Amino acid sequence: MTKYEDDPAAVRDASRDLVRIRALMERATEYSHLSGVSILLSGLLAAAGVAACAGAGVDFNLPAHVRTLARIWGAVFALAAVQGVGFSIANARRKTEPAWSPLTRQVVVAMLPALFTGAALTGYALETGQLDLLPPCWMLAYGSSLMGLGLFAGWRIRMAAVAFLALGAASLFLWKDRGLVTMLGSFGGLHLVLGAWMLWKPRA
Amino acid sequence: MEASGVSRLNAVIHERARLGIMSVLAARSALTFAELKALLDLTDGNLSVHLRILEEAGYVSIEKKFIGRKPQTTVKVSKKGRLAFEHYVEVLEEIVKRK
Repeated sequence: MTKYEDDPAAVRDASRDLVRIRALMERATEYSHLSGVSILLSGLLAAAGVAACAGAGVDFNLPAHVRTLARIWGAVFALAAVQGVGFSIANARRKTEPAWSPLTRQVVVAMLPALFTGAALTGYALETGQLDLLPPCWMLAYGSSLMGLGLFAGWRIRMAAVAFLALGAASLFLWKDRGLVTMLGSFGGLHLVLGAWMLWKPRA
Repeated sequence: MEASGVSRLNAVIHERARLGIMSVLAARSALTFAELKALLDLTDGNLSVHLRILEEAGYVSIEKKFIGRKPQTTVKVSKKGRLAFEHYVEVLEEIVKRK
């Protein structure tokens, strides 16, 4: 055990080991089962949801359309969640890693509080008939949950989270009457951009 | 006289593969065998040998269970292991500061 004798070369060895320790610690907390295809599909599903609403003539500022809106967006979010989980499981299997691991548990725990908040606010908006609150609530809650995911999945996810939060706030204060447009721009557009970026450069 | 940096380094953790195992466990607390293998690029046999040494030192605990029909081995860092690793890193930092 001579690699840390007090000569300059040995001190360099010790420095190198410290750098390796830091790099390994960072790598260990990186969640890498996200799929660009899945994110892209989420964007397409959101765009399809907006198209379905436009086709059916329903909008978030028309309280009478609550059932149709609930059906359409319930289906969009359910499909997006199922395919997202499915792609993550497939990615984990491809790497011969467990899909449900201690890290996955940490990621889920980081995301759940914001998703729960979104669900609670959705219930409140539906009960009080304030449907125009739904898009901003969803964007803010989803942006917060993405920030939780971003702690493990890299800076691009955190950037997307900030974009969702900014759009959510803008939607709440400025564009509450343009729910479909903001849904298209956020859940549609942001997902499409992020998904395409992740497919183009899987590691950034 | 103060002991040299080298003599104060924990011999169990000092080995390259075990240092890697302890580093990732310090960040995550618990990892599956497959995750450790992928993160550290070790073979099954090599990883098993080093985990056994760490387990004998009381630095990690190894739990085997079934998820559905698939066996899953989870490795957790113990309090003793965490303290030993933190001390190891402190000694390394002292050596680097001496230059």
